[in-house]
Amino acid sequence: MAKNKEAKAIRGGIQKPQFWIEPYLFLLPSLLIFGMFLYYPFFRTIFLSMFLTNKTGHAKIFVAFTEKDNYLALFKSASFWASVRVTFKFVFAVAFGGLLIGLTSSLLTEKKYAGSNFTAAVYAMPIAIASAAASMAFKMVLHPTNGLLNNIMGTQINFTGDMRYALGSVIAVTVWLTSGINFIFISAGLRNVPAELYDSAAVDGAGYWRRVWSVTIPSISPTLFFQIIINIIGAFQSFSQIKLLTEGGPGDTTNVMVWSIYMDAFRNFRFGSAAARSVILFLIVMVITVIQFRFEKRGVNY
Amino acid sequence: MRITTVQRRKLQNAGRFVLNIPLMLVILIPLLYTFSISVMPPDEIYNNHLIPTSVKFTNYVQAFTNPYYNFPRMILNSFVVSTTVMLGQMVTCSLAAFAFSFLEFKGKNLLFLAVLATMMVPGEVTIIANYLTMMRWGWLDSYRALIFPFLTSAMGVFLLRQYYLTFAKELYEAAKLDGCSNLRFLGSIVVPLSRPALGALGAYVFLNTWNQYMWPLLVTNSRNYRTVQIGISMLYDIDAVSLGLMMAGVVIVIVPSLSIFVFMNKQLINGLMSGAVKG
Amino acid sequence: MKKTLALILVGLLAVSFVFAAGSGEAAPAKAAGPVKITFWHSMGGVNGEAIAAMVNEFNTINEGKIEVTYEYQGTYDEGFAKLQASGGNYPCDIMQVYDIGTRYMIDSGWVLPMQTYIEKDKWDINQIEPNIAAYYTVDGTLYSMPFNSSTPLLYYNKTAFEEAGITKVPTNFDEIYEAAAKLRVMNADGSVKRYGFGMGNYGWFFEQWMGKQGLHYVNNNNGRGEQYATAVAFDSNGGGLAIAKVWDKVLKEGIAPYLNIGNNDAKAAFISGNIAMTLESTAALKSLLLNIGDRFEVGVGYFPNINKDDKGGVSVGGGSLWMLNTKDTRREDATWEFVKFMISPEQQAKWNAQTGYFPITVAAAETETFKKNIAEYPQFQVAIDQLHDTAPQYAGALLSIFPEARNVVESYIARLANRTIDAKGAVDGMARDINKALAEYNLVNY
Repeated sequence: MAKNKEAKAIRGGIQKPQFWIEPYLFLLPSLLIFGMFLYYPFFRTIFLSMFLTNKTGHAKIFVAFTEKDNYLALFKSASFWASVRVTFKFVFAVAFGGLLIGLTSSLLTEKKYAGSNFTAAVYAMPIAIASAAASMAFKMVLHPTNGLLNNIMGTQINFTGDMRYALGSVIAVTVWLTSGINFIFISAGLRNVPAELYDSAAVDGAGYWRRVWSVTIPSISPTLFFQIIINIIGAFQSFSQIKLLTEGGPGDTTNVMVWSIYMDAFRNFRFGSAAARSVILFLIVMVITVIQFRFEKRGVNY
Repeated sequence: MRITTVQRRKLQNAGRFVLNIPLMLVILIPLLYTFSISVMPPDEIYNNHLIPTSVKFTNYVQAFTNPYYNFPRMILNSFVVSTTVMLGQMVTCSLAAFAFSFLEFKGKNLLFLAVLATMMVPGEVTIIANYLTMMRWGWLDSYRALIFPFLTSAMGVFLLRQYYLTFAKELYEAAKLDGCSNLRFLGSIVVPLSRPALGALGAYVFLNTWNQYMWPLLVTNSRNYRTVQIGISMLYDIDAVSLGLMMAGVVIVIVPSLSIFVFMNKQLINGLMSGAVKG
Repeated sequence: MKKTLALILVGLLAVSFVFAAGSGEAAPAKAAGPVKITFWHSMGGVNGEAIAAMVNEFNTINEGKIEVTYEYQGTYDEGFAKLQASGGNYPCDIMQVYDIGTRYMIDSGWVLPMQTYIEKDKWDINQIEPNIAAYYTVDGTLYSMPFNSSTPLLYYNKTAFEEAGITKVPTNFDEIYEAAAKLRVMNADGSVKRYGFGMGNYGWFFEQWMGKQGLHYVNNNNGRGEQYATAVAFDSNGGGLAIAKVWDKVLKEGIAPYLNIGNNDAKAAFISGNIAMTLESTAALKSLLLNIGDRFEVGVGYFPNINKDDKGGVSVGGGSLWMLNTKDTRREDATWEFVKFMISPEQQAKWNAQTGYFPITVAAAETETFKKNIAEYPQFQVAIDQLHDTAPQYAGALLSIFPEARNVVESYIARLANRTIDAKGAVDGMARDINKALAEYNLVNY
């Protein structure tokens, strides 16, 4: 704590007064683009969420704080709460699943050995595949009567149409898709671990797993922290797989929130409701991220 | 003595490789299956064949040469757009991340949260608003519309900020004492040392842009500006069934992105070799 | 050195902007030169290639006078969404919209009804198959020009039928149950090798079955009355329950496997021989035959009745062409010429031969192209007979929120398939959800 304050003082002291505007200049390009293409549409979304919109998406009837309020309608809808529950299950399964696979594959290729380049390329490959393309491939694999998976297992399970398996299938496909990016970033982080730390651990007689637990993971904690956040945020936005594999069904079992937003906006022509859902989703993700940043102070070492 | 150690190492290496096989299979099988379908004769696809008995590339020829799909042009478009977005993000995100990690200023935490917040905005609703903006500016059917909104990303800022935070503060202080300007410090010292992160970011951004579907579909109309994922969707029709053709399209579109990825991977490794030693 | 790298990066960025800045929308064509019109469509695969061929032929014939640019806009849903967002700006001249978008388009105010030009040009409307035109006609006005129309059929594995000794093609579900029992083949371990029947959970079938029972889907004369529809009718007239009961029976008794929403999985199952009968659109005939090859013979029959004594008929599905009200007379005239070309007998015969959609023009049946195609694919004659056997009163509902309604139907059938509700629960649920959405739509839009 004290060390941090000292560092801040040194940095603050070195900066000359006339450069106070400089940091903002560094941020300007990014903030401009965010402003035009993210903040502005989002404020418009908030605005729209207070109305019942007509079939072309224009605000028609102001309903905020009335009995027809969009948010109220959502809170009263069982389908909405089902979608919240499904989203949470989906997100956490995908986020930790992806991280685990990424960590495993990174550790497996940490040291160079014969063929390690090839295996590294394989592990990162899912990132090159568009989620739509991968979903089409998986659709064949998961077909109820003559899909690859059923053939291998000798069963006739309807992975995407059976309420017991649909969510699991979608989670599995998403973990597959996200394993690539997890591998790439965690590998990059692994390579940054100073060799001396490993050497001193070896000198202390630490075995492989002990070393992983006490040296590797703490050293890459910034990367892991980053990756978890990215995974969670990305999982909240997962869409193509749901569209191609299950369309939010059967029932509400894979009806993640972005899917219901898409349905409301693009199929049901109810922009006001879609806007309200978006705002709620945004707040949820924001809260989760803020909580995670609180954890950063405790668990992450820089 | 020596022989045993060498043998031991060889066994260790082989062992390590074998350990990888289950995970590799899980990742590779859907891809191999896709490729397999694209070269199979049609009646075998539905006969639960895993490996085709005869390999025919007719689907590829049709998808690639048929002027209706125009795959070569779409691949070019995707390349132009993805490369520009990648370079653009590398520049803007480095600048922003630098401010968030090395500099002190009022509202720093709030602004960082605001930047992160952009990652949390669901795209489905903003996409329509942005489409209308493009229409109003007359930017429809152009590279501008495909590139401009993506020239920065919270993901890039976040990633680089995390990376820069691992740098020793003494590095910055020393540079300052030498009279180095912030920009110069960023350009001459920070950027070269962040090759691994930049490489990872570049690969990620390139591939993400390559894989975009909904946005290019909305803002482009003519085939001159369409991108590859739309090409794949053109191979699909609700009533006609041509699975082999579709999978061929999928493979065609994966190949360039895979090559880019392999190339970037090499850069990553080279970057790590030179910048491996940290403070 | 690093600075040069940075400069190069910035330079590349600048160059790309110059590059990118040079592109953009072309200025509208001036009086001289051909009239340029844009055609938005949602046909992919071989159907898309067929469209390209037709448009190119039109452009060649009308060189210097009219130039049509065709642009693929994603699936029906995606193209429709794009039009909704930008329709007020008339982004194209003529657009292909699916059947369930009809009411929306009529209400949108962006459309110039085809009737206008039919009367202006004194074009004989009887050139169009009456049972197809009926779908797109409200109050004597034909709004859009039918283009790719299809009806549903029963497809069956003729070889399997012969092996099982079945001689009569099933025409209703009681007969299907009978045939399916004979066609089922079991594995040694007790699992099913081949089901007698299977169908996709496709909302379109539900709508067709309402027509087959001669009942209405929604009120106010099936949405075609003076007032737009305000509630569903399939709950009160019992039609919905009859359909749900069929679903319940085939799944509960193992007559059919559950094959997910849409038709892709059902198609794959039929092609691979896992199911011996299925329901599909006429437009799928050619590609089914192509994928099945020599493995077995394919037969087709009428779309089955729900009840033995149903006296209704099918209606068409697919898409139609809508002219946008651009108020630019030159472009609208050119668009009408294009429309006439696309539905001319020879073009429709070619379109039918390449895709399996109906020729919507009566005279197409006289062309050589058509006769050759029928000779090669006699199964198609069944589709034509089925179309001629139906009547305009079974034309199908018009509903502003049809896309949503279809999704609701599919979602409740999925629940039924998973045994979380029973048949009556499904119908009640559908009615409740659709009515609620309809009430809100009517409140905001009328």
